Amino acid sequence: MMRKTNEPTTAPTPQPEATKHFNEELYLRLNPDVRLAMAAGSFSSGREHFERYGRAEGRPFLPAAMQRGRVSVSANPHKTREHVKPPACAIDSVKISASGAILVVGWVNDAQDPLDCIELYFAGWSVALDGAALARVRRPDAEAALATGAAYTYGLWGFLYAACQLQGSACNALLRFFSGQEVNVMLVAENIGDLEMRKAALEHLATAPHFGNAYFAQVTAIETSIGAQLVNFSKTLSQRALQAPYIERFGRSGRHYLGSFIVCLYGKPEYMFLQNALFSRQPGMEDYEFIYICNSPETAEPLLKEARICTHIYGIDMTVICLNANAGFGAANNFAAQYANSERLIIMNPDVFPREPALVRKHSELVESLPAAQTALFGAPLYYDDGSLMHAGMYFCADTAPNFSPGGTGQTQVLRVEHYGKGAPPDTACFLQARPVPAITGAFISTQKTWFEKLGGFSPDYIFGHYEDADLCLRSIHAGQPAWMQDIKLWHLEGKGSARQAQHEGGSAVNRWLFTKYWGNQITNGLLGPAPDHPGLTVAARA
Amino acid sequence: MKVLLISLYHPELVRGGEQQIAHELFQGLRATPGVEATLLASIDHTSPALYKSGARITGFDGRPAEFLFLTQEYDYTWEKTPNVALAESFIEFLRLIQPDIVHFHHFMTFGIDYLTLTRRVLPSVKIIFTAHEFLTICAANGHMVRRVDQSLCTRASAVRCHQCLPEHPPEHYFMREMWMKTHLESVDVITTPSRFMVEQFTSWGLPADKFVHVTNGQGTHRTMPATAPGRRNRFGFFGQLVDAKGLHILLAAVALLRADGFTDFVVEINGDNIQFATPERRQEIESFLAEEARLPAAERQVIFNGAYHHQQLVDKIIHLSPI
Repeated sequence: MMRKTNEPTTAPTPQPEATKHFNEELYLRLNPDVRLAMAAGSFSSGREHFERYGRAEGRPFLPAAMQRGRVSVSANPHKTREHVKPPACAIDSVKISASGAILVVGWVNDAQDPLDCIELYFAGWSVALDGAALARVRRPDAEAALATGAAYTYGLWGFLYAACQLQGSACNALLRFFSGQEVNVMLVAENIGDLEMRKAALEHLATAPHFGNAYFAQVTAIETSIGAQLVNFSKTLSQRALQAPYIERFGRSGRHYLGSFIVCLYGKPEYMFLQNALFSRQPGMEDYEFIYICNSPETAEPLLKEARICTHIYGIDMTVICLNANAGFGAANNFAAQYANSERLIIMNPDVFPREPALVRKHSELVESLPAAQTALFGAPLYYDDGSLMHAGMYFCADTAPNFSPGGTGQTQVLRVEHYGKGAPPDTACFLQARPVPAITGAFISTQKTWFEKLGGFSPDYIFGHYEDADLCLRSIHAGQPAWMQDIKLWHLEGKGSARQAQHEGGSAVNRWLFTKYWGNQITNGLLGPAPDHPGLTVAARA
Repeated sequence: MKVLLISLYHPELVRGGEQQIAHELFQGLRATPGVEATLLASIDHTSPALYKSGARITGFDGRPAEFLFLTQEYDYTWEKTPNVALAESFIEFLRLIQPDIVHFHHFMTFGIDYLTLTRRVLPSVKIIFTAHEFLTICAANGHMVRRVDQSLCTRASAVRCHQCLPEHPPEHYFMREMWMKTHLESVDVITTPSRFMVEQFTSWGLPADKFVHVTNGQGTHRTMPATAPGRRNRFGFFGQLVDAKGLHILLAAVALLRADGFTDFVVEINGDNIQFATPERRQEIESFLAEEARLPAAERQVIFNGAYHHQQLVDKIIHLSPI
């Protein structure tokens, strides 16, 4: 019989009255779990159990009159129960990455005896994952094997970023339960690369089945600990991806431009030549440069080839930055901004193209003529390929769902970003007029470089991409300048400019949680809904 | 006046109407006083022996003013060549030749973006583009035949193209149209061999004033002698043995007539390039011809004569029934 290690293991000093009245058979009758534990060899007698644990647990040992039709509670059954069999459980895998990230996946039937923690022992190091920090998910295979018929989250997974170099093979995994039960599992841990680890953890988050809506369940699963651990780990990988980039300049150097288009590429190099072809026809394009930053090292070589050909065919001055790994949208754009040879950054997705023949010149004129407050940070109407509006600014909504998980807050709230005018007829005037908005999409952001830098650029906390654009705009509002919409029109083939995988869905789930954590209170205070009354917006609109 | 003709393939190497027209025009221009014509015809993997190490453009078999463009890595999705060295060789070639007119008879194996590249290298050159089919509009081999039901396509759109070629989303075809139109902006004149094509292109959004209707001409070959009237039961097929030319339909008609007991006719097949047919059509045609060849000579109604040169055309046609 296992006991929690922090519980007393030596017998307390016997009390005279207990010694005097203790009846072995009566004690075993009143405490049937002790009888079973004794039969299993955990204790030599009921008396031994009483002296070591029973007295402290307040277990009954004296006869008492039983009231018929009533339950008589003699002690806290949760604390007193002695388990003959430990909960059924298994650790499927333990993965360790070089930088100290640990991913544990398994399942446990701890409905009656909650899992307290998982301890992992390797040669030279060990780590304990708190049971409350583990994500709980469905495990259809365990449900079938246990055949309890209960809607219970037997599945578990944990992620910890230790930020130190780790390696390990033979692993002793110890699952401790609140009852004091322990289960020991020997396994061989898998050592993987850091990028593979991020992919594995985020894929697990994205694909693990849940009871109910995964949109909420994923957030609930990571809010205690895993979310923060994943963010820290991913930030480390982003910083590493920015080290030793390959940078090449195409076309002219040493010029100063009216604006610098910064485009973050992921997975699809062909959008470089498409953008070059379509933007090169724009009057005034000679006053702009392109900066492409590529988050896919495997496409660096074809991308650089394309850049050389584009220079011959289109003649747009261009810098290409190739990173050794995916730094994410925010970190990559921040990095690329350092190479801009202008005071105006136009952060643009690779699948964004001009919809009007003089868009670039119009952009220059807007920046030149409008008050600085309206151009410090602005977006533009974006259109689907079918002709309808895709984006005319963004606002915030909050989704709430009950959260019945043990120790939960009772509800899970997730902030959602919505686009004004999504799917609307193309010329809907109310969406096209210049106005301050809560946020604009990162698919097209024109910003004064100094303002972007003052805001600190995009937050590097968000994994891969999503929400960092809204985060930037909220910081801009709090710094006194909301984002504006200005009427220059572009196509946006939303979602076609990059290759999306399961790990990106996992990253989006983390970002949902993170954005809600960062901005939940502020948004619910005047920035919620399509017509928010936050003074940062209303004052700007009146001005 | 210097004219550079750009041709998909050389008719000496790969038979086909487009390259034949381009070559005959080249020969005609060469014979025209005051015109200095140059031909740049592409080759691909079908002529591997003509590739020379490190070369991208070479001469061709000692023929004056005829050059080969040794294609590599061609991207059939976007109709472009993502090869830096080829682009740079093409630029150098343009600068060496310094043509007053560049006439593209096709863009395939070069790239639709070579129209823009030509304009950028030679800003004042006149660029002519002859559309031999609808490849700029239609990604389905430029045939404008709907793959969903084999009907003629009257209008390309992002969704309709996606229906024919579902391997790409509608947005791809939206982009493809912008990509093609952007490069066609560099062209001064577009010629088409039929008026119908002009209508299709203008309804697609290209300006009508850019178009000139020029029928496909033929060289000054022998003229057909008059034939005595007789029974009209000897038919001929001339063309490439590819899906779009419809040989499989002709063979199906033969099978139907034969099944009805009508056997008093002969069909002669003259053509090449069955390697460019789809595997299904190729199998269908080759099986039919193999079965026919197994029949006693007197029972054969389909005779496969193989490839032909345009100079042999009259001899091939002369014994067929005039219709």
